[in-house]
Amino acid sequence: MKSLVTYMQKLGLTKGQILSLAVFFFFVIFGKIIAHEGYLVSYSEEGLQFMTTTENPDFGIKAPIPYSAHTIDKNNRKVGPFQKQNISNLYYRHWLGTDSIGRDILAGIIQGTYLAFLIGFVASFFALMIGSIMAYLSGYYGDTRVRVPNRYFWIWVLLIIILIYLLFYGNKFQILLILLSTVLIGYYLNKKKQGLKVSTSSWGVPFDILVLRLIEVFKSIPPLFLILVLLPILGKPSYWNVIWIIALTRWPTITRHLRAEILNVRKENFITAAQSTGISDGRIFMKYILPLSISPVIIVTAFGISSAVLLESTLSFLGIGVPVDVVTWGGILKEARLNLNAWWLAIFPGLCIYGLIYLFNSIGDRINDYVIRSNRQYDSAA
Amino acid sequence: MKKYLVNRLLLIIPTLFIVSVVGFYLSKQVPQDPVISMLSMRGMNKGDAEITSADYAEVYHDLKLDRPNFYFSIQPSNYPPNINVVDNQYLKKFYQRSLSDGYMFNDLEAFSEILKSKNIPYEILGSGDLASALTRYEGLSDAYASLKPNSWNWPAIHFHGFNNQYHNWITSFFNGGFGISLVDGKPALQKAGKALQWTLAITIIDLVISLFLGILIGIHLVKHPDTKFSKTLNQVLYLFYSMPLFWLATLMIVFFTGSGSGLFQLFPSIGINIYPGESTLSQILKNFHKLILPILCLTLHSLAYIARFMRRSIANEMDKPYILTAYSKGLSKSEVIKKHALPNAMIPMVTLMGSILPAAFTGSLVLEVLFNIPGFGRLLFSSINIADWNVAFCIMMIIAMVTVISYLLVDLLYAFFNPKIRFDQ
Repeated sequence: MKSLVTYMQKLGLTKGQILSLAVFFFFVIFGKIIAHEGYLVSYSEEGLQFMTTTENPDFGIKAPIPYSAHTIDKNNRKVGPFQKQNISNLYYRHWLGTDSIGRDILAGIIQGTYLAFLIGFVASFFALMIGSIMAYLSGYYGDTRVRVPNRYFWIWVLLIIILIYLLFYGNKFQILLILLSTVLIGYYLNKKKQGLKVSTSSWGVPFDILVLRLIEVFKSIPPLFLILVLLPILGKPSYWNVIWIIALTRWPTITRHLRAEILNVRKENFITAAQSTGISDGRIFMKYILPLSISPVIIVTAFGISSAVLLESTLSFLGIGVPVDVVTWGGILKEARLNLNAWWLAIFPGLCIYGLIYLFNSIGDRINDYVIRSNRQYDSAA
Repeated sequence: MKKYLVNRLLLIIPTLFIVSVVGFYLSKQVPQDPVISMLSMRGMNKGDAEITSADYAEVYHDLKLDRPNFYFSIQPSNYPPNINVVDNQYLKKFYQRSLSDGYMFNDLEAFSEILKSKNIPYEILGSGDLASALTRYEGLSDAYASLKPNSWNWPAIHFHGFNNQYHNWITSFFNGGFGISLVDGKPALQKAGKALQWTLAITIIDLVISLFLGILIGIHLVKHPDTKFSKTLNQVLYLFYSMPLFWLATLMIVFFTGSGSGLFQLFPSIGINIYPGESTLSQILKNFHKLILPILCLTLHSLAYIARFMRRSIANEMDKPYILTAYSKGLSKSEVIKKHALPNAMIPMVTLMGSILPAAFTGSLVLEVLFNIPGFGRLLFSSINIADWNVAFCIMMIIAMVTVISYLLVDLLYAFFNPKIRFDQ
């Protein structure tokens, strides 16, 4: 824990940013406990129970905020934080007001933190995974590094065609089988080439061209079209669909940054030296390339988190994507669009989205400055 | 250079082709049925039950949905060559579901013949629990149970020739027609053109203002980095930079218009007045007072981005040795920035334009929804929602073309600004 904080400080994060991150994660982890309708712990005839809605137990501890995100308070519909509220005592006050059907805004915001985390981090993580694999293939292998003797080339092409066919009509087992054999045969052929003399009768696998074309196609399809079409295809609305779609629209950016970085590092002499010792490409990537190109990845991820949160809240705000029963900040903000005279509906959830985006943008900027500074030191030392 | 240009121009064709195929394929996967939405547009539908299968089949054939999807198909051998000839929605869905489970098409067809001979409506095939729905009719359950799926079917290739849906659409694209809209029967291109005018009216004004002011502010921030004004300006820009556009617009509406809480009524209430029979351009001009607020929101948003971007790229240039040379010649700071740093700092700006231009065409869906502007983004949104694919494809292809062409322009401008870059290697 302490080393994590020191690492973040080394990257140039301010104390305020680290503290805000800590607060954010506190609400992510404990959100369900801080805002909960009924008792957290209760003791009655039925014994000790946790997180219940039992009425009148012998002994019970209530949450600091006595509402869940879905709790409907019929007596207080669309009341503001400063308006008179129809409540029994101060404990039951709606500190940030309620929406048009009487749900507490504060409880919604606190419980919505979890989904903001999930969307921001998990979608960015998926995008990072796809993006870095693509960047590795195109940046490190390029168009010529993986060479296949052309006698065997068609076997590989055939396997890939079968793989695409099975992706549409096959089952998971068949896909896995063909995928494994494609990779293994490719690996075997690539190994075998090293034993052979490098002759003219071998072809390079054009990873770079393929990945760049793929990125171009992805960039040419309007993201709005992709999102609107993919959401119904993926079936029942669920936030996992939204996470996958955000990852799908984010990976080209990550690949482009990381590819440029890998291209720079690949030219260095120590990579050639490492290659000449005969260690595997995967190990070279993990040991020599990734550590050097990790800071741009962190920067892109930091900005990626904020843009993932932005995209999700925009989608929820428009009422597409995340199902209605899942509490998100964008979803609460949507209420403001329908009730334009209730200012509290617009301000508080928006402020949370804004705060999170601001936090990760500023973290990205700080790390960016740090990287520029250390590069300059490296340049002047060299 | 010439060779590079020809290469790039030739690469546009496969990219657009793949975009069109991917878009077409995805549209076929969307569960929303264009026939149903067309019928409900005609007012014939008040719940699915009232659509007779004859109505459905008529529209289905009118829209030429009975043609095969593509020039060829590679499918497991239990699939028929062209499943689209089935013109009943329930039957088609039942076939598709069973075929992907490995049932033979001939068996399924025989099963549907039994239904037809007993005058049982195909609707029961659409019910969630098929097995229990079939027990209501005598002998059906046994007939259904006698169907046996194949565990493995070899792939089979079918060629369909030019009479297919993709070909129909792509030829209408080359004829410049894009087909007609399902909703009102107007040409899709004309509808898209009208919406595009609204979007461009907003985004072009926004781009001109924010580029002009953004570059000026960027220069000012580099020139006087330590004054109080610059520091405040930098902070304000950062605040707007992270601010989600939809939140900014919502706050503006809530606090500054008559539609909101009415705290300060600086701007007219949201919504566009429609003057029937007038051209889109004159409608835009007559509604211009209503467009001020959305333009303001968009400009604040993009200005913050461009000014920060400009400041950073000029500041990057200021560290380089040639700036030192310029100073040592005796130039003042503003001369150094204008004559030496700015031209070089414009190169990253050119790259940025490559992503700004397509975005300007797409427009901002959020703004268009919030302010009720009939723009490009909202047309795309609504036409996908009701499966009006001719219009949606038209918009998709226009944006794709703008994107590809603006990337090409960026690369060419890049070479123009920076002669060091050579393309023929």
